[in-house]
Amino acid sequence: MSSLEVNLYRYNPETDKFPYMKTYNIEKPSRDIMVLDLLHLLKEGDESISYRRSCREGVCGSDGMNINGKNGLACITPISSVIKKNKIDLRPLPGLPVIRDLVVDMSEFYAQYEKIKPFLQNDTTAPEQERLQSPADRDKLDGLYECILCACCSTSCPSFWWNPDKFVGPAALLQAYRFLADTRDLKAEERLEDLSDPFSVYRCHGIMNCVSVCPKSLNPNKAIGEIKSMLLKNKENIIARDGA
Amino acid sequence: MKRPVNINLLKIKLPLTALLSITHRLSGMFIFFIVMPVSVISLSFLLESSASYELFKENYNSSISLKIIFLSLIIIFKYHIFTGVRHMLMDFHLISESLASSYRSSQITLILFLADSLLTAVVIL
Repeated sequence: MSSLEVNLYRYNPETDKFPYMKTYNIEKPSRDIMVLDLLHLLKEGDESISYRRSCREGVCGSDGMNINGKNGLACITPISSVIKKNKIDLRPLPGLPVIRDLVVDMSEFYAQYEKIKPFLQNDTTAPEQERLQSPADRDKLDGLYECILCACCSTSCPSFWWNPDKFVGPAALLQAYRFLADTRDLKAEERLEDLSDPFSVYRCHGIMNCVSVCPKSLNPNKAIGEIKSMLLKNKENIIARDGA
Repeated sequence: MKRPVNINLLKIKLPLTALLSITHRLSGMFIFFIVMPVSVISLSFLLESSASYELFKENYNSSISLKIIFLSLIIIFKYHIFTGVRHMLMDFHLISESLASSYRSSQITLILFLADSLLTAVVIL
């Protein structure tokens, strides 16, 4: 039976001054398991290991982590797809403060999400039943609404690492576009105005890290491109209306 | 409380598209701080007098290392242009922003750059 070497990022603020990597050697499971299952196996031997998990099926977005250098959800990443030379490195999501082991403080990430006002804004009188959309208009939201806010994309983005307080980040920008693209939302101009500073959107240089890690195969980079085009159009409209 | 942050750049895998973007920026800095000053200084030396022009020409023609230095400056400048044009095409939505086409455009950019570098090297050396 071959053994598997797992290098785990460990940090306990009560006992450790600095984080360190701890190596665990465990028997290689006879069948392919998910990285999350591997963590469960490790935790059986060392109860002090901390990580977040909930649904264990890629829906809740709790167990985003850096697996062999690439962000992903532990629960839907088979170990066979990431093991290199019988080794696997597990680290917390990059760029966010580490609370303990693989658990990061997501406050900055959520603050950016809050900033883009992730709710429908429409102050016209609501119809009797619901605001209707044509199927074609509804289709525009596909690939946008499915985000589970696991933070894999934003924490793989160097622009977000350096400016987590000013750059909105791919996850929240995807949601910003989700409401910009929604025909029922009437605050597009205000939304764009909020995003028009040099940092919020324009720190994205299209390096595609977000797209390459998204566990739901979404494309924040494309959404950001659309927002940039809308910002330009909006500026043109404002100039045409009010003069330069 | 001061919490540690995991940003170990050596341990984070970056896709080809990211490497292209980062090297684009590095080459831009190199152009600003090295290529431009060297070019301007060489040009001013060349234009000083016909004697200085002849001196430069003589040295340049006889020195392979000088040629290699100028070749690398030109190649780095061209790298910046090639990767920059790719970025602009993406900004104008002329290259679709899917992961697959972004990879492909990166590969094409690199191939074009390498072919052009070879050609430049042949011409200069």
